[in-house]
Amino acid sequence: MSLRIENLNVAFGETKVLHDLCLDIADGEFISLLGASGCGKSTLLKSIAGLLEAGTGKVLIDGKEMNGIQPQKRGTVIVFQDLRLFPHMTAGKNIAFPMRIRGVQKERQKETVSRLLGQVQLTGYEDRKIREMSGGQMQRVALARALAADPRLLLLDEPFSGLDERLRAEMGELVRKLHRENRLTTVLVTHDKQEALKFSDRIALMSGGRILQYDTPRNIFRHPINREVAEYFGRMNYIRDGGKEIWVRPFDLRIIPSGEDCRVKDIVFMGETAEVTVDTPGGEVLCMMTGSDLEALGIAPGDPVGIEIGRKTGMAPAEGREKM
Amino acid sequence: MREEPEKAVKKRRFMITDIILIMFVLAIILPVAVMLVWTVTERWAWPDLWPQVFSLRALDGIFQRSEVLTKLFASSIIISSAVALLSVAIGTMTARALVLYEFPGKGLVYFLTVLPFMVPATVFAMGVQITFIKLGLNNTVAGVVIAHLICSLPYGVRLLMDGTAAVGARLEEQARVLGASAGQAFFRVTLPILIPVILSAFCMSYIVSFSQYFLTLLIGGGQVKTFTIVMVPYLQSGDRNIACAYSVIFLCITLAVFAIFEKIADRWSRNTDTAFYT
Amino acid sequence: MQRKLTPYILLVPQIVLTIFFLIGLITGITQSLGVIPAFGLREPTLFYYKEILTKPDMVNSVLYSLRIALFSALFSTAAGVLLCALLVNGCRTKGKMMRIVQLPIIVPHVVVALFAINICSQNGLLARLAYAFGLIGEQQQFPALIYDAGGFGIILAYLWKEIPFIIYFVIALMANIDGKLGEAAVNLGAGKVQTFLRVTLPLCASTISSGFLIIFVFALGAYELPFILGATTPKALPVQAYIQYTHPDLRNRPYAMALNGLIIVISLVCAGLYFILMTRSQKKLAGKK
Repeated sequence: MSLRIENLNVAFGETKVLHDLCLDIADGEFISLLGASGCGKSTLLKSIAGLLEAGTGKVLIDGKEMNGIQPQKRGTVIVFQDLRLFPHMTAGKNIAFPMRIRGVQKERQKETVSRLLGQVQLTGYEDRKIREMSGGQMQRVALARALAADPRLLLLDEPFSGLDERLRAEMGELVRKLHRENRLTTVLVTHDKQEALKFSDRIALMSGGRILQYDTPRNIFRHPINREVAEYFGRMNYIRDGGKEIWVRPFDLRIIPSGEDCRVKDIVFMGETAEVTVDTPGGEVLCMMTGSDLEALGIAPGDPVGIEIGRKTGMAPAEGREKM
Repeated sequence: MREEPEKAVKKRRFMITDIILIMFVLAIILPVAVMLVWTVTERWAWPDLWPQVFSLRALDGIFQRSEVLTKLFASSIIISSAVALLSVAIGTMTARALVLYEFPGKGLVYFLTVLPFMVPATVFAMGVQITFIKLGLNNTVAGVVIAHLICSLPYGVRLLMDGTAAVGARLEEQARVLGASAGQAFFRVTLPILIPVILSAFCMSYIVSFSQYFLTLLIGGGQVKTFTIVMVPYLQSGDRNIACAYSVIFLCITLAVFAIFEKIADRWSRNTDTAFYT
Repeated sequence: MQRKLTPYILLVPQIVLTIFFLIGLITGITQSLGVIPAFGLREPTLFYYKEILTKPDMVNSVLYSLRIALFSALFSTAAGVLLCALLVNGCRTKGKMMRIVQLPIIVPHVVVALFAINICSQNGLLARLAYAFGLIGEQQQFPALIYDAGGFGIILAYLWKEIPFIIYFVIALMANIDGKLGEAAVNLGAGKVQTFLRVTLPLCASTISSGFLIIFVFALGAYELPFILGATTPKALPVQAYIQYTHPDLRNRPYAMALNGLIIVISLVCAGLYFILMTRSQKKLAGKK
C-alpha cells in the first residue's frame, strides 16, 4: 500500500510541530524516520494513523484522502514505544484483540494467534500474563498483535528503544524478516542511525518538524544535502582547497608516511578502528582507519605525514548551504 | 551494657503507641458493640452495666411488620443504588472529559464539579426545593435521586478522575489503531481496567446517598421513606431498641454489599493484572 | 470537529446536575437578599443579614455552630494526624487496622447520633461507668454531654466520625512520603520525630488543611447531629435556618436564606482555599519527585 503526505502542518496551541511536511512511500517499502527526540516523528505517525486531527494538509493512502476517516478504518497500525499491551489480557488475548474486534471466527483466531506467536518465536505463550513477560517478549507480543490487525501500513514508533543491544539487533532482524515475508509497507521511527541505515529502503531525516532529506541509505550518507544531514550520519572533514570547500568522510582520507606538509597531532586506538588527527596547512583533519591499518602504518604523534583524499562526499557546498 | 536502657526506652515507646492505638480502636468499636447489645435488650435499667433482660422483641417487631421493612428496604436501598449507579456512569463521563480532553472552560467545569463537596447539602436543599416543586419533582423518588446524586457525584468524579488519569489515553489509542471504534476501545480496554475504581466509586456514592437525612426529608417531603427518615423519629421518641435494630440491619446489608464488591474487585484485579492501575 | 465536541457531550449530564445545584445556590442567595417576587418582596436589601447578625438568638446560633465546627475540625485533624503518624510509624497502614478505620466512614450521621445517645447520655454507658466507679451517686450528677448548650456531645460524635476520615484522607500520602523521604532524612542523621516534624508533616500540610476545611464546612452546615443531639437553645445554624424556612409566616423565609447565605459565604471562602491548597500540594509533590 502506498502512502502520500502533502503539506502536513500540525500545531499544538502555539507550537508548530510539523511544518509543511511532504512524504511519499511506495507499496512494500521499508522507510525509516530518523531524527532526535522532539523532532516531530511520533506526531507524524499519529497523524498518519488518524489519532491526531489537529492540523492542515493531506494524508493519502493508496491515493485516497484520509481526512475525517477514523483511525480504525485506515488500516494503519502503530507499535508504540511503550508497547501498550492490554494489562487485563493474556498474551494470546492481546494478539487476538484485533480479530475479536473484526468478528473473526474463534477457531481462525486461535490458529492465527499460534501462527503469529510462532513467527515471533514465542510458541506456546498464549496464556502467559503480560506482567510475567520480559521486555523482549512483550516487544514480540506487541509486534504479533500489530500483525494480527492485518495492517496495510505498519508504523513502528521506536519499539526497540527499551531493549539492550543484543535484543535490539535480534528484534531488528525479526522486523526485517517479517517485512520481507509479509511484503508490508513499514515505517520505522528511530533515532539510531545504524538501525535506519541497516534496514531501510529509504530514510527520511527529520529535524524541527521538517524533513531535511529523503533518500536511500547510500545516497543520504554519500550525498547529504547539507552539513546537518552529513554530520547526523557520521563525522565529516571540511577541507579548504583553494576557493572551494570539499567534504570528505574520515574513512576516505588516507595517510601517507612519506609526506612533508602535515603532522600527526593525536592518535586514538579503539581496537577495530582508530582515529588519527592530523594538522594540515588547510586546518585540522580527522582520519579513520582500521586498527590493523594503523599498526601497519607505524606512525606516532609528531611524525610528518602526507594526506591523500580518496572519495569526496556530497554535492557542491554552495548548493548545500542554500538549503540551510 | 549501654544497649539496655535504650532498649527499654524503645520498648516503652512502643507500649505507649500500642496503648493509644488500642484505645482508638476500642473507641471506634465500643459504640457499635453497645448498639448490638441494645438490639437484643429488653430491659437495661440504670445503673447496671449489663442488661437485665434480653429479648428479640425489637427484631421480632421489625420482622413481623415485614411488608414495612421490605418497603423501606426497597426504597432505601434502591434509591441509594440508583444514585450510586448514576454517579458512577456520569462520573466516568465527566472524568473522561476532564482528564483526557483539553477544552475552553475546563477549569470552571472542574471547580463547579467539586463545589458540592464544600457547600453543605442543607443550604442547597432549601434553595433548590422551590425549583423541584415547580418541576413536580418534590415528594418523588426521582427528585430524591437527583438531589442525592448532586451530593454524591463529586466523590465519584474525584475517584474516577484518578482512575482515568492512571489508565490514560494510551491504551485506547492503541486499540483504535488495531481496529476498534471509539466505543469498543472504551468498553473493551479502559472499562475492564477501571472496574476496581468503579466499584469503590459506587460504594462511596452509595454511602453518601444512604447517609442523607435533611435532603431526603426536604425533597422527599416525608413521602419518600429511606432508612434515615425512618430512624430519626425513633431516636427522638427514645425507642432505642428499634433504632438500634434498624441500624444493625441496614449496616449489615451495606457491609455485606461492600464486602461482595471488594471480593469482586480483588479477584478482578488479581485475574486481570489491573492492580497497577488502582 | 467531532473530537472537539466529545468533551461537551460527555459533560452534558454533569452540567445539567450542576445547573440544578447552582439554581439552589443562587435562589438561596437572592432570597437572602430579600428578593422573593412570589411573596411580593422585590427590593434587594441587606436587612436580613443585619438582623441575623444582631438578633441575640440568631447571633447565638451563628456562634454555636462556628464553635462546633471549629472544635470538631480542629480536634479531628489534630488527633487524626497524630494517629496517622503512629500508624505509619508502626507500619500499620493496611489490613485489619485500616478496616476498622473505615468503619465510621460507612456509618451514617443519624446512626452516630444514636451512638452518642447510647454512650454519652445521662443514662448512657459513660454515666453508668462513672456510677460504677463511684464518681457520681445519681444519674443527674453526670454532666449533660448531649442536649447541652456547649455542644459537647455533637463535637464528640463528629470526632468519632471525622478522626477516621482524616486518617483515611492523609494516610496514603503520609505513608508514601515517609517511605521515600523519611529514610533519606534518617540517613542524614535526623531522628524519627524530627523527620516527621521537619519533612513529612510539611509535605502533608496542604492535604491536612484540606481535610480540616472539609470537616469545618461540613460540621457548620450539617443538620442531623445538632438536630438530634443539640440543645433547645442555642440552635445550630442549619437547624435555626430550617425553623425559619418552615415558619408559617412566609416572610420569615429570607431569615432562613440569610443564615444559609452566611454558610455559603464561609463555605465558598473555604472552597477557594481548598482549591488553592490542592493545586499547591500537587505542585509541591510534583517538585519533590
